[in-house]
Amino acid sequence: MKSAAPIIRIENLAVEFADAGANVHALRGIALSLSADEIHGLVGESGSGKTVTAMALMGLLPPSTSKIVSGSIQLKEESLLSKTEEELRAVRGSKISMVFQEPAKFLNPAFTIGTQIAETVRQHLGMGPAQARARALELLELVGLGSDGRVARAFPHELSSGMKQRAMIAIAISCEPELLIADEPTTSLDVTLQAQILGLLKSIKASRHMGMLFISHDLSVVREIADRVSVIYAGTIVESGPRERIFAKPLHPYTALLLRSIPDPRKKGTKLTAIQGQVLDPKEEPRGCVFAPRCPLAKDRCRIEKPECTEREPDHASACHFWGESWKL
Amino acid sequence: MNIAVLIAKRLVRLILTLFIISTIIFFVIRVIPGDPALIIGGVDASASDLQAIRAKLGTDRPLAAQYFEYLGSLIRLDLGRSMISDEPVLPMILQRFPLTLSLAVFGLLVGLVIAIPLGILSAVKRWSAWDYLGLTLSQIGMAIPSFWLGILLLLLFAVKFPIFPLFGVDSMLGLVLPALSLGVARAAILLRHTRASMSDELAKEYVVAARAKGMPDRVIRYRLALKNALLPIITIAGIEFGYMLGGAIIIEQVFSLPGLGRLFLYAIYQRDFPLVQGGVLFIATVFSLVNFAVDILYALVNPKIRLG
Repeated sequence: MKSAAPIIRIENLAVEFADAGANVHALRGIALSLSADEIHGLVGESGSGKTVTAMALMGLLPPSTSKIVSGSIQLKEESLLSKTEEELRAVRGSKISMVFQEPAKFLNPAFTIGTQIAETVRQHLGMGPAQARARALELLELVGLGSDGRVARAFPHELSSGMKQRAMIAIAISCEPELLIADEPTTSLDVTLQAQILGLLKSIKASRHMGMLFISHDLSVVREIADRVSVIYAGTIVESGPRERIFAKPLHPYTALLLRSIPDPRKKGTKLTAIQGQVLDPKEEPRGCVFAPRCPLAKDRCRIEKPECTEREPDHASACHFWGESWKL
Repeated sequence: MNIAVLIAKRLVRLILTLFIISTIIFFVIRVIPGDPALIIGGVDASASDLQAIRAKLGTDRPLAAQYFEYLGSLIRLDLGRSMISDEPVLPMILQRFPLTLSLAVFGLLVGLVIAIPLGILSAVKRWSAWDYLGLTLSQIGMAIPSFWLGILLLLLFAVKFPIFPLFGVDSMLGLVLPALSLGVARAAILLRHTRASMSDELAKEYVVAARAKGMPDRVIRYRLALKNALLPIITIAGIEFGYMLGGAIIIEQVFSLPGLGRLFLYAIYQRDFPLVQGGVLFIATVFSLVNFAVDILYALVNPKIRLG
């Protein structure tokens, strides 16, 4: 289902958290692959497992409370889950890096932007101080923060939130990673800045040939940036395919319902549809489809037989038994 | 706001504080019931003796006149003369001050040297044996009165094993035990603050970001988080230093050190009003100056204040 060889391939990944004796099923066996030059949108509500996926890719799941129950993560030929902490540290920030939601919190308030970029390249690329400083300036210019060193000398609180997010992107791409994970990178920004940051991420992907996992709860943002989209619900990927296909002809009722809840200026005046019911309790282990309790189309089969997320149309996978039927939602 | 503006602002605040303190001291001594002359002279002093004491104190004149004269002399750094020795008060204080100051400085150093590494260790290895050790030590440190610790240290290291002198400060060696007894109690408090501050920082999002950048734990803890964690410790240490100046006065008694403590204690015994008044004002001034210095230092190391 992939044109180019994937740089990341997640297979059957299941992650559980221990919460007061009960097992919380954060990821229930997901598969996801991503090639270079691809922006892959991972869409879901909060608590659906988006950030857990990112943390699993980074090898940053807390060992004391979380457990990888099954599955594998391949970064090209390397198996990430069999790596030691030391080996993972060499991957983080270098081969896989991450941009976070709130740059104000994720930048260190006590160090200048220049230092925070330089320390990353010194750590991974073994550059000396002068070389690292030069690299920091180069990166700041690349993300549109000027080349005169003013931003490099600034502390995070001296920058606007848009500039902070650009600085964080500069840090994330400083070692030319294979994969850049962007976890809701525009959620804390206003609409104008959001568009600018999306533009920046797109141009970086194009010029640097990196893969990008773009995590968002907002389908309209994903529509703007992603080449491919995976929809995640209750720790399960329910649909995955090229962006146009997902938006034009979703093969899973959850995706279809999500699309209906996007505000559309052409339908001004009509009510937005909310999806009825509650998200599946992550402690539950349903026999059937995770979405069945909320699905207006659910039939008996959905409650007893778990649908696999497999390719239903070329390059387009869905985890719905009734993917081909015409739905009345 | 740049640093010069900050200094100017804090300086204005400092002067205002000192003015208010000196006014309070002036009125407290004069307004509380009881004639100082009577207290100094005793109940069987003759009327003419009392009058002479009042004239010497200046308390025979109207309160307003006394107040303005008092403020005037403060500006000239004149704290009056001792009732007992007739020496000017300020030089008497300044002569004793270096000892008390060095005691407080060494006490603070002892406190910091104990508290900061243990506090960091406690925070990094939370709920481990190290953490419990640190918390227990700090509990004990807070519970032990410093003068009692001082006596214990004297018995152990000056009497049983005569390593340090029993009293006096002929050499720096004489400061070791007093500084230890002063520092240990404050270390307990500093340790708790360091642990709390460091734990807070280690739970922050930028630590996750640093791990996501592949920074080693050692760097994250002892460079990236520590720099943030130490900022509030500067303020706490400043306040602790003020307490040490006060605490030094008690410890000086235990170790028979001729510092400010002895001077003020005898002044109180002997009802030497100008010396008591000058002493209180002096300590309050030093405390304010320390706070002033801490504010400036904090601004210098905290990037958020420097330009914020």
